[in-house]
Amino acid sequence: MRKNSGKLKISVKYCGGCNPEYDRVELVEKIAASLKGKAELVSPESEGSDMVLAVQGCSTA
Amino acid sequence: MPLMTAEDYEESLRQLNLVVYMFGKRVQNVVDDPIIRPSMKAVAKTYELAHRPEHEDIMTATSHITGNRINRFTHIHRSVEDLVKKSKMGRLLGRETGCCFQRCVGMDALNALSIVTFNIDKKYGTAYYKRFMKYLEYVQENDLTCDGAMTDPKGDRSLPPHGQKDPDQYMHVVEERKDGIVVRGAKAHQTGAVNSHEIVIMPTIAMREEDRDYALSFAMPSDGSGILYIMGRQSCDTRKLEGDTIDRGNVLFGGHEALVVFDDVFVPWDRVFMYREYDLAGQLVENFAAYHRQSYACKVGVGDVLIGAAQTAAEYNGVASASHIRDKIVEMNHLNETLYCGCIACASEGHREPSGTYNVNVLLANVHKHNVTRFPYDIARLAQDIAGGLMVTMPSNEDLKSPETGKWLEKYLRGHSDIPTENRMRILRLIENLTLGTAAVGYLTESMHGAGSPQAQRIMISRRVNMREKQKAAKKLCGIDEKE
Repeated sequence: MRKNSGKLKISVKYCGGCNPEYDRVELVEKIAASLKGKAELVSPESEGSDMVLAVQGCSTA
Repeated sequence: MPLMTAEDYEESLRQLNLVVYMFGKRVQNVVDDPIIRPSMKAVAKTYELAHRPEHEDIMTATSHITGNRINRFTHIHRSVEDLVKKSKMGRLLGRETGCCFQRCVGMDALNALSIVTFNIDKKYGTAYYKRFMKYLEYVQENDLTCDGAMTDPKGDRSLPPHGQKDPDQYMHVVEERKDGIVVRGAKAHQTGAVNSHEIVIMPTIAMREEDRDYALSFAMPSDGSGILYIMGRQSCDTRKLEGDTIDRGNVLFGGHEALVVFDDVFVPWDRVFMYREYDLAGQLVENFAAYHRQSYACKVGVGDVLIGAAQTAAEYNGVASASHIRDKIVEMNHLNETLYCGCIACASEGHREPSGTYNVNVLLANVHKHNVTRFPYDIARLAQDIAGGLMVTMPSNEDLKSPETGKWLEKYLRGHSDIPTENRMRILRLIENLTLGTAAVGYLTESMHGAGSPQAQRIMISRRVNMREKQKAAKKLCGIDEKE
């Protein structure tokens, strides 16, 4: 799965966030920080991502 | 440019030449006026969130006309999912702004017209739908804010439009020309009017043949010749003139209403969507009202803010663990989430109209709005109960900052020792703002009368319930057989 750079490319897709049960942006920032050097978080429109991180604010989203 | 940014939106308003009056004087700079500006910032939030990845799924949609990504406020609902997202968008923005963000009314007008123009054409062989779709594309492609304007002043309520002593009490046509019509009248209580690029006019009641000159729907640029705005006052509005003060309560956002006067305004034919089809005026009113009653999903978001403020005030006061306070917070949440149930239910039970537009369940939308005429008042009462009397006896921001009095306020207005006095004052001012200040206009009285007063919903509930089926069910269970 890894690209030549050795970094995973993860596209982040948020739900709409109408009534989230936690701070979704803060969580994604924490994930990005914990994966620093190993993975890059990109927008869903970016080409060639290795996986998608779906960020749901609640169990309905 | 289907999606404007908040900055684009503000700049676009600066290009308008609106005729606005407030406190008896012409407002020279509408966008920067300290009383109006917080309301502009609330509308700007609808543009800002559409660009944020964490909200774009709610805030944007795909145009069924162009296939472009557009702001949901310019979208025509194409599915039940769209209707549900509309309700969720209302809660989101209510919570983000703590006030009326003003843009829903235009969305509701556009959706109602997408249904009714189609139905008029079907009945009369006119070409309103095509004309309306062209206008809609213009709105979507330029990401415009529309003021959906329905409420006429109405004069003597016991008389129909044509029976009024002053014929201008309802918007009406005064001249028909080859290239359009000239209209006269006014629309009252227009939320967000001076923050809008367009005004979409609709009739205010069902009409008879004698009222045909009043059966009008059309759109005009908000700075069209002959249109003027007289700003409504709000309780505590001049606190916004006091600069950067905590006494404003909500230091970021606000709402506004205006009386909009149409003093012989020329409307070209390509912007006319109903002209004397009096028998379909009621259909336009009912469809708009149903959508707009759903739109009161926003009050759930404002309720979120008020509940959060009440909990915070309780913590700052050191009473958060008291059982009666906890119970009151539960009651506030129960009421608020009950409101949420209604706006989600009327959307989830939506249906497809002949034009392809999805409409809400009209009965449930009316039940939802009827709850909104009551529950925010109960939530506000509980918030004031929890806040305590200091909310209305507290000295001003200037007294807090004064070298003579500040030390005494710091000392005697402190609650929990870890909490700065200023923070305690800020949260109490926010509760004041929402329950009896500028934001109470939106959270309370608008909840009562906006999108129709309570009696309007009771009439619709009475019309829409299937009473015969209920009776049939009851009779069957107790053994009544009327066929015998």
